[in-house]
Amino acid sequence: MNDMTQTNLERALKIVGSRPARPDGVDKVTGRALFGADKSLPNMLVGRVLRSPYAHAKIISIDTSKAEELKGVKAIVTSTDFEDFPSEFVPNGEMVVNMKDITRNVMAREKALYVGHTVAAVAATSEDIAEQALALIDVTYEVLPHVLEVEDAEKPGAPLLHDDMITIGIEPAPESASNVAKRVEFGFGDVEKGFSEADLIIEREFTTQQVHQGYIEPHACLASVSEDGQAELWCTTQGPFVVRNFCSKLLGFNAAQIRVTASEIGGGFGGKTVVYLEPLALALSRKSCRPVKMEMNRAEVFTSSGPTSGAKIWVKIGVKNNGQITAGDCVLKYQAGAFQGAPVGPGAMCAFAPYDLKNVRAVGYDIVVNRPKVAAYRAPGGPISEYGVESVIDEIAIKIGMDPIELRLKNAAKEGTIAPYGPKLGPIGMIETLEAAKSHPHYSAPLGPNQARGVASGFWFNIGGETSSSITINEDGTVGLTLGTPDIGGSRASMAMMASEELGVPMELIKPIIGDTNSLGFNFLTGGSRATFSTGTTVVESTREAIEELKKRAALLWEVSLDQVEWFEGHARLISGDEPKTMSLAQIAKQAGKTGGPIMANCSMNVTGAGPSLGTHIVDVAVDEETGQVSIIRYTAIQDAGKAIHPAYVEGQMQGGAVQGIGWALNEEYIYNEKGELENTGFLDYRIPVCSDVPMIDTVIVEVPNPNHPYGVRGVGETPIIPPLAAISNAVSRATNKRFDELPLSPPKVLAKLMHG
Amino acid sequence: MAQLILTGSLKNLTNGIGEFTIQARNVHQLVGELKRICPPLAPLIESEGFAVAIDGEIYQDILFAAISENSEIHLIPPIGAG
Repeated sequence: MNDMTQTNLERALKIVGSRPARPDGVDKVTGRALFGADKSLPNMLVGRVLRSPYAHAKIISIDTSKAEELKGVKAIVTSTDFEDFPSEFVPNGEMVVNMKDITRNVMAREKALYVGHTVAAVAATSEDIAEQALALIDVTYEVLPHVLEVEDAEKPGAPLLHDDMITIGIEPAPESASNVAKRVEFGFGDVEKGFSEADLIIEREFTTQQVHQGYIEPHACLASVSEDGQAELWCTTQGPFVVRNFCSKLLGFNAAQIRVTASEIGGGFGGKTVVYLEPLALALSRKSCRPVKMEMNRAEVFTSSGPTSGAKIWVKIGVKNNGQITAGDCVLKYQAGAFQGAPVGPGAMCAFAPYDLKNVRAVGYDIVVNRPKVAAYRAPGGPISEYGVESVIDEIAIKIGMDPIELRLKNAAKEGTIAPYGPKLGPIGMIETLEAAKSHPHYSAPLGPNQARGVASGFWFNIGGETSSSITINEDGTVGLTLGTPDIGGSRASMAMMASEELGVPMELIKPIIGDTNSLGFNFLTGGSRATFSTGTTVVESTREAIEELKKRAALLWEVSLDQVEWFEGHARLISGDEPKTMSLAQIAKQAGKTGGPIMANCSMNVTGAGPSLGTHIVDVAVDEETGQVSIIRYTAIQDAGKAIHPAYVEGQMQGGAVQGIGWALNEEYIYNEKGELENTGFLDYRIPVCSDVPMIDTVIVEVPNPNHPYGVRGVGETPIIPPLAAISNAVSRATNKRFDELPLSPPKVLAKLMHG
Repeated sequence: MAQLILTGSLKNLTNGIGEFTIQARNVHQLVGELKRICPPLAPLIESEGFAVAIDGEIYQDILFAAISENSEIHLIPPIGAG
């Protein structure tokens, strides 16, 4: 921790920690804000996608000749319009990606690997003509057997999605291909010895279903490639720089040729971190020399973008009668979708991370199946593994007759705990969130008939990464902030607040915007709960640099040395001399041209030191034993934010994460038929919670500062989706005296368990 | 000398050896040392497929993160973004 950080953590704050109005609020409530599908250009074409009707099929041929003859069709692209790549993992920003898989997911090549897989795309002068053209494209398939579930995909003789997939992480390497892309293992100690010391061992298998992020705004973009190869792309994304890099690689552009501007975003939650339509629109625009706009409909979002994994989980935990856990062990099998890359690594790393264990092991398998390739979803992998562990923890609490919060407190991770993935943890708030839960009025409130209370905790790492931002002092004393991480959860307000706190000027004078990819150095995407932490760090650093320049200008005008000037509440102040002298930011800015030119500063860095965030949730449920309906009666989310820059936004993240977790726990699931077709491709059948399904989510922000951020920020966006799955399952299990081990807890499944055990 | 600690499946690459003594002042030098004493581990960092935790703090793709004389080092997969 440096001196400036200590100063910030200890000083009284005026702006940080308050709740000002959001800078983007008026535009959003008046409909003025421009989302992905709102941008248009003259002579714009409409792009549409032809998708595979089969879950697994060889593509024998694609004949586009009839479609090309249709009047109004201006361009058609297939896999031959995209670069091919060898199977190797290459860096892309902070991600390691396999470009062979990405180009095949964007546009199927040898095989279609799921219903909805893109096979061709058309640009035409109208939507109707584009749809007619799709019908005229003749694709000859050889239909192959498909596989949807991990337990079927790993069996010998299962249909193989990729003939060359040899499991990584097994020594010696298998000699034949399989659908198991990777095995990972984390842990230390001796789990068998730990189990031999236990008084009680609980071992249980769990199942979770594939779920979608459910963002309200479908994927959409507008691409315009000029005759000289310069490209503009507007799209809804969490990472315009990542989009630029993916598209330039896929289409053979260099990075400087593509300028990407992120629109306002109607939800992402990890699902808008990869590319689907963007390279298609660019390819069609390059071919037609006209702007091309593309939008997914809701069914396409479900079938052809990236949900998260369904999984099979096995958990075994041993415990002494006094509640001391002696060993924890788990095996996680995650669906990757059609290409490798399930979030089973982080799932395995954080499965037992809320606890201080001496003997722990987590093994994970990344398994391909004929479903859409999974994408990140809020704490990718964490909710699934921690659901299994937190369910067993609850079962142990019941069996040894211990309060579930006390059991967690007895085993809670703290500063100095060795995390199951190896390193020692720094300051974390597991104990603090548990104590806050224990003392919350909710935890001791009486319950009604058929009601029960569940508790669960959750851990997520949070990340830093490459980040750039800049600050401009305008000549009238207002301030511009240019940020490179799209605002998906209120980051513009938080950045303006931190700059306001540093400068000592009202937040209303600071205008934050999201810059395009030509305006800043590379920014990793908004995700990993990193924006307020990483971009906030660069904003504070660049603001401090601007303050130094403001002080220099004041020193010039006063004809004193720089060390005679300090910055105090929006003013330069002369330290020496008989008469106190001050000069406001606006006064200095007004003379900037005469004292050396415009005042601006930027900061680019690979930000490190992200602090893990822990949360504990309490939920009361009522179970209707005649229908199997589970109702959420009361819900409280408690989380360590490090420091809440804008508490209302932090509470919003906690509430949003909790509601998405409630949906995952109670109703959401991908339902496939025997042909591998998704049967619930709309919000009527894929049921996310609506307002009437949930009570007001109460929140408690715990603040255990992260010493690596100027204000102590940890990042809050992901952790709150982790506890709801187990908390609700635990509550339902307690309400019915039956241990539930499968999600979602939808009425038919609950009723079946109640009737048949 | 800093200590490199390996857990889980990484030990498969080192014939079950879980601890190495490393002379390196930063991650760049660590990669060079790994090439010398344990060749299968070096590509994990070079390909950016792994992050390095130094004394509990995770460094992702930062070659010149400092390693001190008594540092404890772990190799871990990079954490994704959701």
